[in-house]
Amino acid sequence: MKTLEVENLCRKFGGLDAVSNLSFSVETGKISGLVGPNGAGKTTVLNLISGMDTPSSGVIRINGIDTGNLKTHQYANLGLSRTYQNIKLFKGMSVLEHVLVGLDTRRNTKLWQMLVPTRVDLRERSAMHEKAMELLERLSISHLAEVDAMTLSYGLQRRLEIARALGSQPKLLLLDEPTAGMNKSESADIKELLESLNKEGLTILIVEHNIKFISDICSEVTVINFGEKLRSGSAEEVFNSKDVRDAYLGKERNEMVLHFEKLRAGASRDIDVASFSRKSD
Amino acid sequence: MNGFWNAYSANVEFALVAALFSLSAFLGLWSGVLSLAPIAFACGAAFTSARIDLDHPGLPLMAHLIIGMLVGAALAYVSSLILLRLDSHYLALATIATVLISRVIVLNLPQYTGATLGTPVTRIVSTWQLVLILSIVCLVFNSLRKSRFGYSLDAVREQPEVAASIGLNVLKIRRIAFVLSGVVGGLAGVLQSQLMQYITPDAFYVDLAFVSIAAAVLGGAYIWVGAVVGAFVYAALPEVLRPFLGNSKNIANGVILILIMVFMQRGLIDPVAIKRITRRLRNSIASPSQQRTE
Repeated sequence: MKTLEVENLCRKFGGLDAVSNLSFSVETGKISGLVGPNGAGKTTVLNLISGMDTPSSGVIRINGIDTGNLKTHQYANLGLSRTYQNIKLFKGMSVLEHVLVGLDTRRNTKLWQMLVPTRVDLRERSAMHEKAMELLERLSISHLAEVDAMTLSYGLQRRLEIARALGSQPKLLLLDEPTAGMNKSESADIKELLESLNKEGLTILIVEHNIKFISDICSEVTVINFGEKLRSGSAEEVFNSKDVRDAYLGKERNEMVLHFEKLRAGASRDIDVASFSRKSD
Repeated sequence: MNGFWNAYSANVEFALVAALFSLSAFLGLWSGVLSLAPIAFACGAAFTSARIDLDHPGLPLMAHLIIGMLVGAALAYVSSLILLRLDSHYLALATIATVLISRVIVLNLPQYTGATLGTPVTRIVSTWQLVLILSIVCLVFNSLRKSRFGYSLDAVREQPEVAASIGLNVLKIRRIAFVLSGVVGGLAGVLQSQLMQYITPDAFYVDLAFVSIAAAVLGGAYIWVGAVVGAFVYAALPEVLRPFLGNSKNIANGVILILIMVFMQRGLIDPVAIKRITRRLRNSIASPSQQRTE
């Protein structure tokens, strides 16, 4: 079973092929990774999958349904939800309200019922409130429920984005650089959270720079560069292949090869390829 | 007090209706749309109600209000089908065009509107009824604010794309807000025409549209209270300034508005700032009051 299938996906921006002929898939119930150097087109792919951008050609299927004719808001009904590389929160709304917006899309109240809150509506509202608090609890930010979201620290804002995405009760969660700007213990927390969500049946696709994080958590990894697929496979297999190393390292290949040798020897798995990538650019 | 009322009753009544106008403009802003169109809907509602009053005199106020709201909603729905295909400043310009067009239509339907001669209106609304109507509208806005619809509007205003990706139908939400702004605009139009007792094609024109948007922004475009406060401030400012400045009051009026908008960018009523201030007050009050209860 595949939750997400991408076939021959292309996206042109004027003369630039941001994504060309990309095919990959995400197995149901797995955590997969989409990796590539800066400017490889990862976020573009994510935007295409989540319906925030339209492909020039190609097919995207979510749970077997072709998303070609869907509007952005209908993707949530297919069970898809995402976070953003540049955090996009709603200014002026509290932490709790952020999650409620997502949860509320799963409710059936009509507008007139909101004008004059009925008993059904109120009961549903308090149920939603409880659910939202549960989610915040999971992300360990429930004590901040009433705080204005824009005043949170960067790491907490990232958590809130995940909570908001979980609010619409997705089956497939897309994460755009979930650990960017986080320290080691914070990203360890995120890893733990994602693994426990995955155990409960959530399929996850992560776009990341942090190779260590990806190789720790993902069962399958797809590497892209210049909008094209370089390689798919298990993390170890992919990161040890020559073309992937070339893509990441360019001219500083030799320096990096040393690190990969070390990695293979198990001396240190603690390297972040992002810090080496494309210094010459 | 009586002297004040004799001198200013008309100002107060117009301010109450101005608050309704700026609430209707606020509904657009709430959904992330700068729309002057409610004035056009008010125009349609006012002339319809005036015409019906001439044909069937003696209808109760309630009937006129309902007619106004229905006409406003219908006009808003129809124009939303075209206008909401646009976005941001293009949409804003198109709504200004709507107001311009409404005047041309009024001028070209002399048998219904009296064209340049205008239409007389019988006033049947009393001051306390105006207060009551504004209070009811405020109550509705308040219950909307903390409802699912209110959160959706906030989300759509701040990040329309993100809102869409968590499953909110941005177009539908904006359309509902647009139609609601037509309802409130229609209501305000009927009441305004009764206060004026005589409406011409210029009664509902761009000047009124700009004033209602400016009042909403001045008061704070992030909460409905802002629109009401903004409308009152906008109405009171010229009267307050008159004794000091005489004829130059209009310039001072403009300067004060610019200063408020520059230095209080989120308007006079900013929910975030208020939350911050109340928390500080609560904290500073909390300790002594606890001692008192013990």
